[in-house]
Amino acid sequence: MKIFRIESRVYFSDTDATGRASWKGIFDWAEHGRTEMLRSANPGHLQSELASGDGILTVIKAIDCRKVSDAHLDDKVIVETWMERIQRFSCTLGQRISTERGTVAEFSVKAAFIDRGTKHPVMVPDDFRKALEDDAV
Amino acid sequence: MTEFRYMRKIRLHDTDCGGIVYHANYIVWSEEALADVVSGLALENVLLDPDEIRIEYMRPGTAGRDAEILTTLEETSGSCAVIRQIIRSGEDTLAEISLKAVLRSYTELSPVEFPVKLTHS
Repeated sequence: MKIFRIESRVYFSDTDATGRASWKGIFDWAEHGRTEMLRSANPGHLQSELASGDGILTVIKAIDCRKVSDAHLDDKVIVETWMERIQRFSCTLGQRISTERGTVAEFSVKAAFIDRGTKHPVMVPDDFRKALEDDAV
Repeated sequence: MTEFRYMRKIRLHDTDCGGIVYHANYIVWSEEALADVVSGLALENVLLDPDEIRIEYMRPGTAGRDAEILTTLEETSGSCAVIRQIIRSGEDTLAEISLKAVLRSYTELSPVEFPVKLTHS
């Protein structure tokens, strides 16, 4: 299983008055991790190009997440993303967000591919699927 | 069970370049609604702090419309709560959220026991 990794840092914009990274900040890191993994898996298909060219959007169908510990301002954040399963119209990604102290949160994300115009499900493009399958568990 | 209703307007800043509500902003709305629950229970200096969240995205939300977040406290035990939230806009259900949260002191973040025990019926 190939794990794709990006690094970030906890900025003020990620925190709230409790002194911790907010769930919104955590969700944003997860989104960045998924985006960069998909971009890395198929460099010729930026999300914007996929949408404008093939007319395909990637939409989130469900997220399961669990917080393990807190992240704080200035912490280095590591986002790990991997493909758990890819099917004809959807895929499931696993994610782990951590700091140097350990796991902050774990995610399981189900995403689907839809036609930009009709909003109906579409099959994953063949070359995109091939690139993603190479990363699947 | 105890139910709470929270209303808000869907604003431009809730959306992304896909033209719909950015998926993570439902968590922001969830937090707003949970803060209203705390007020509704007449609790002070505490917050409902989610540990586990499941969110299912049903229909896209668009700016300019009203959103209703219906929060149900399904069960409380000690400082823990099982909560369900349904987010609607007009006739559309935008998202359903199930979460487990801990009632915590706002300043110390230490667990605080719920004043009333609720059981799932």
